[in-house]
Amino acid sequence: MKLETVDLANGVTKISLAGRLDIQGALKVDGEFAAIAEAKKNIVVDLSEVTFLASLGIRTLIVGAKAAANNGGKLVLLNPQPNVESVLRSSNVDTVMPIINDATPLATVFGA
Amino acid sequence: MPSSSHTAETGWRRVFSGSIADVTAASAWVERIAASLKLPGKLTFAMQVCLEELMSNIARHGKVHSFPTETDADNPLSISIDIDVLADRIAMTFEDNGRPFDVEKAPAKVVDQPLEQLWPGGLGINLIKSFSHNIEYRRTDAGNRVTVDFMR
Repeated sequence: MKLETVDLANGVTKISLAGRLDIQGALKVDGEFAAIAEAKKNIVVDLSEVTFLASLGIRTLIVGAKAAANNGGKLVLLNPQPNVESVLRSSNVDTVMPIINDATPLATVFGA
Repeated sequence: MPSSSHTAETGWRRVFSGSIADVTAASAWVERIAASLKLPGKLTFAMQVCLEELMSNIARHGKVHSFPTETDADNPLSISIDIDVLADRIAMTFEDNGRPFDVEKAPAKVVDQPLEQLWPGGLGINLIKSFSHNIEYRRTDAGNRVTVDFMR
């Protein structure tokens, strides 16, 4: 599991994850992901290179979304692969973390 | 170390420990079997989701053993997985020696609260039930036995 961060325009931070966000992957990135989310406000999590998502990986995302919300911001999920998206939607995760794609203007998402 | 066997062309069996590393090893094992059977990617993914959730539940919560006279050191957590290829479905059976947990009756929790009130966990049972076609639990003398079916 790999994690990379880049600051975009208008105070938005993009976190790119790659690999399997399973129990082992979640344990590997949990601390760093939470620390970034606690320090930032508006976050885009790029899931395009995530090939597998388990409930513990969802937990990682929810912890980050709660931290962003505590900062008055929002966490959204970008470009999940179809299988990963099916995990997200079957858990109703999309009701608290919007799923967006490259065509979605970030200004619309964050009101920035 | 996991032990492994392959029975003709109808099924596989392998025994894993309750370690986190073995959850990953088991998932890779299932992926190799699915590839050898040329199963569709969606079905392979569903099998891996159920395996991941069942095994990680056992690895994280199963370590109080069924028999009070035995300690973890005397009787380490063990999870056997049987994969049976049937005409209409694939059946995966998990047997473990951990504490009782009836996954069939466990509530299938989904996100149903706003973020502020949401407790970030406990979504695995719903994934097992969503990604399999049938699930059966039985408590045995040795521990827990769970069979999940996937229609082909």
